[in-house]
Amino acid sequence: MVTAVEATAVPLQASNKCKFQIIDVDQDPQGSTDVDDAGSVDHIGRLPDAVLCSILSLLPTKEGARTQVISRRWRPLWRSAPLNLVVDEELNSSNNSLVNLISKRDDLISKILSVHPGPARRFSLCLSNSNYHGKMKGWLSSQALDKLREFQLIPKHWFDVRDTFYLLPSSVYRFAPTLRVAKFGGCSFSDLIVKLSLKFPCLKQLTLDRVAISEDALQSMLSGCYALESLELKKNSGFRRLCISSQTLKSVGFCTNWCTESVPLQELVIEDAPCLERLLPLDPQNMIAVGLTTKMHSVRVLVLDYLNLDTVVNFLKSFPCLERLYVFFQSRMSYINPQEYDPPEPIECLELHLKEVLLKNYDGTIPLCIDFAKFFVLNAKVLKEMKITLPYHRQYNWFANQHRLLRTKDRISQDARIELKCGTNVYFTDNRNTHDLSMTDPFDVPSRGCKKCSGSPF
Amino acid sequence: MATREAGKKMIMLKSPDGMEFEVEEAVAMESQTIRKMIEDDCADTAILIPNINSKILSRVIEYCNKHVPTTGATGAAASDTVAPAALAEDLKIWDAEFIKVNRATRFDLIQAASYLNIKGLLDLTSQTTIDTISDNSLEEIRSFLSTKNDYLPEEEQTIRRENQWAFQ
Repeated sequence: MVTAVEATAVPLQASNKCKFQIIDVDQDPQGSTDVDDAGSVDHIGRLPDAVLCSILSLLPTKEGARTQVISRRWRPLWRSAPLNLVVDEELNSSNNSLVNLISKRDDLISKILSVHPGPARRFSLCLSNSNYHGKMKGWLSSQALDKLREFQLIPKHWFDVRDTFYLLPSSVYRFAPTLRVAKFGGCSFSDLIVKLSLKFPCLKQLTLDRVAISEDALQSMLSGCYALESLELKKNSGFRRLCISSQTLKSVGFCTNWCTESVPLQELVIEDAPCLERLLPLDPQNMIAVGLTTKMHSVRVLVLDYLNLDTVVNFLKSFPCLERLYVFFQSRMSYINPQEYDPPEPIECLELHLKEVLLKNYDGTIPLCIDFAKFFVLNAKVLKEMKITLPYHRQYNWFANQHRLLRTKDRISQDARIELKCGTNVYFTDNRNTHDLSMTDPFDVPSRGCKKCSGSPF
Repeated sequence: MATREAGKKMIMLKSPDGMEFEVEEAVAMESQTIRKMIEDDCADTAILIPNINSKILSRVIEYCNKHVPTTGATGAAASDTVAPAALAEDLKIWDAEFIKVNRATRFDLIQAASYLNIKGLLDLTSQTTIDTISDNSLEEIRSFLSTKNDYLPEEEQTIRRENQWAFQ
């Protein structure tokens, strides 16, 4: 709490009349809070209904409804607060047998939708069988879901989906004007999006996970998203080419199709995205051709699969303000002799911005890897840190030797810290951080670390 | 260290207990309510903030100070700028520390955030309350909220029956 005081004292200028301090707020010892609650002051009762409703709409579905029993004041609030309907195990839990459970669950969804007058904040469905598909249309048309802000539809088990995608009922498109967050999984979109030329003016986060959508429909959908900040495209089918042009987009995560028969995404063109900060190929093993028509000054974080040094260097030219670069090495790499790289012209990000290089699955026995790492030690002028993770366990001596190899005398960035640690092969197909723009490191999954190193995983 | 540049416009905020706080206009405008007052030219000298005492107001200002977008830092010219993402992560940590207050203060903050229409602060304070309410029994919630159960036993039974699904 001392830091809080300092933080305030500096920027805040109190007038002469008030000697500014954090008046007794911080004198409440953290451990023994709520001393003041000994009396029966109804703190929350002072809050206006609107605030209580916004709190209510954030509670899990059942807990929200239960608040009706707290007191008379609370009784009408659940119905006037936006509905938060999340259909998951918790909602479904009861002591009934499994057979009853499915029909009970569907009845329950219908019941909640019929008792709540709307509008809705969130409707999230993660169900394990496709029996509900027939009821979906009715649910989506329900008044309770008016002005829906967050919609999520994902199958609980992906094997339920296979090649039979569930065609989204057109009633879902009525939410287009109000949706802020949307995640669709295992379903297919009709070309109605194009015909209606639907607009999604509030949509900030969009995830399409294993959906079927035509190129026209996807392009039309994206061009109707005026506020989109992050976009995640995972293993979708139906379009070969995607051209992104957005004034608001900050983060794009994508990976190619799982299913070889369908049409895979082959080309991603970023035409105009002045706010793009993160470009994350979620499955770098299948890195696809990223077409860049112009230099992208806004991108600070880039993830690449190792192809060869030339390709990587070419990418770097397109990202002059890059600050952090991730490179994934493949587990089976050939032992070709590396080419000497002598940059014909200075590359802007290496000269001015690139501070962090993170190499994953780095195999220190392969000269290509060593030379790749060396390239950055020799050429990245403002490099502060290079973090290297190996796909296997090594002893101290080995690390010392690697350090010697990398700490060449003529390296440019003298104060760069080089960190080597052992671990296991890392894959990031299940990246979940495309949308979380507050994460510094979008790949900062708790590392499985190295099993052979005792104690701390690092 | 935020040093004040000469050109920056300052706004005086007054709490009902007579304290005055001089803050940058940009900081004050984190509050949509104050923003509207400023934009409508109702804020020449000092703005009286009713219902919010100096203790809470000072904390609200502290929050706004921290969350006001830093101007100029995003320009491409400065090579040593912190990436926006890193900044956001620091803010999260700061927020977590900021919200470590007692219940009464927290509800005061919710009320202030609601009145002043500061979305970030409202989200933060609400979420913390929800985290506390979640997974607790009704009795615990009532005691946490310092709310008395004013239902007759039969009434409560009826509501429970009507919403049986929520109690299973």
